[in-house]
Amino acid sequence: MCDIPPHGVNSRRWDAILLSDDDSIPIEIKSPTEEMNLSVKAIRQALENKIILQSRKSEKNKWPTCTLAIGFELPNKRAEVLELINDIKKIYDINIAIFGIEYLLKISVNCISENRKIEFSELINKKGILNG
Amino acid sequence: MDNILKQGKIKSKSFKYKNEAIPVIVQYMDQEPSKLTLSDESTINSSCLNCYDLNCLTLENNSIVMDELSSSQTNILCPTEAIFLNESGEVEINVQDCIGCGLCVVSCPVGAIYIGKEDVAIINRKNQSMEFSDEPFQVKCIVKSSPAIQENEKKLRKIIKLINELPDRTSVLNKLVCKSLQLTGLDTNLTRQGDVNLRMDAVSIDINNNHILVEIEHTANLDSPRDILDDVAVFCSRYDIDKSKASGLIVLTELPNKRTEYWELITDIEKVVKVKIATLPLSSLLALTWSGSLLCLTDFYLGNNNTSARNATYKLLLRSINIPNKNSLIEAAK
Ligand code: SF4
Ligand code: SF4
Repeated sequence: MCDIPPHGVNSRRWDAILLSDDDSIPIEIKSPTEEMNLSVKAIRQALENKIILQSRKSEKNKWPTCTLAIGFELPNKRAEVLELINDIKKIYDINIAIFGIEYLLKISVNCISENRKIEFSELINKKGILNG
Repeated sequence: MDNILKQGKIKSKSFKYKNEAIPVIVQYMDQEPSKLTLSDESTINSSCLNCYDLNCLTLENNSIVMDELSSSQTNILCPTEAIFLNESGEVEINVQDCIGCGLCVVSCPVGAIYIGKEDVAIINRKNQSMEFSDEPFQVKCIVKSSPAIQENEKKLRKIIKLINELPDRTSVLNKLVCKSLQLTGLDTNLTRQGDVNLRMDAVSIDINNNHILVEIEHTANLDSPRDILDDVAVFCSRYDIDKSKASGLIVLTELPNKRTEYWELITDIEKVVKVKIATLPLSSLLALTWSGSLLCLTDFYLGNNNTSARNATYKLLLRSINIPNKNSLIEAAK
């Protein structure tokens, strides 16, 4: 299930959240008007979403489950963004995964052609820049 | 450095006290020259000696916190470089540039500089009981009354306003904070702009060898705690430093209101990723600097349950800070 919180609720700052019975994945969504290419700003917000979720416990959330940032295009400065994602994993042990609209379309098309839904469990262990 | 010292490296007119007297006690006065008690028990208005050390111009870093930062450090004390050596080898203040921060006042060993009625620094040159000397005078140990400058809301707000009006306000504020942290006993180095590994504004190191990553802001917003999260991850990862040996310090000209997310976010960060973030108002830092007190951050780890730096400042000043209640200079006002 995917939930979109109402505006202005501080304890639910993410743009959307994927929910299972006992877990959740917060999603930071960057529209093309905000930034065409995902940047370190989206990474910082994905990290903050995870911290707020863990602290304020507005949804069930398991520590190893990733936090997502989705943008229109993948970052221009890929190395810089990837380095930050790795630094955050190493120091805070928090998994961040990011992808652009192309990857989202790809997995959607795959699911449609295979006549299935995207499984929550397919996403929980994601990490880094997803483009495959 | 070159700028402020270029004019007069040779001091043409140095002074010493008559009868070989030495200064013993400085008593600071409000908006007037300080009173100086000499070893012959006479009391005079303190006046500039053109002394040997020129402490009013420079403050060296006691230590370089990180080798990478050695090239970006400056010994210049004054954040606006308003105080300089003129062509005659005398220290002079360009009042247009002075923001009245008082760093030169507290640094002059004999109290020859004071903040005058216009809230700018004045060097007293009315030499009583002094005579020319061949050698610049080297001041040894001296007792100073405290505070060198009495803080109040009007004075503190004026300093903040003057900084905010400057075209290079970020750099001036950073320099003021960095030198004030040094004067209150925390070795601090400014970072170079654009350094991808050292993204914070400054790095301090405390007596237990803990690194304190410093963000300096004019107004508080959520970016400061976010920056600290980023700073700690990048710094600890790339320099292989244990996270428990690093913490954050946010220095703010005014504290955010109680309702803002700032307080909740720094509380969340400590709870979830165990990064402690201290919030230090510029007013507390200046009051401590003007009083010659040492800074200890232990009580400045504010958060949801405590949004005021008043008690923390009280413990270090050993008196109340002279700022009215519910004032954003020292606590969350609303
Ligand atoms: S103002 Fe004080 S520190 Fe500066 S030169 Fe004069 S005596 Fe020395
Ligand atoms: S009071 Fe501050 S700004 Fe003014 S001359 Fe002294 S150090 Fe510089």
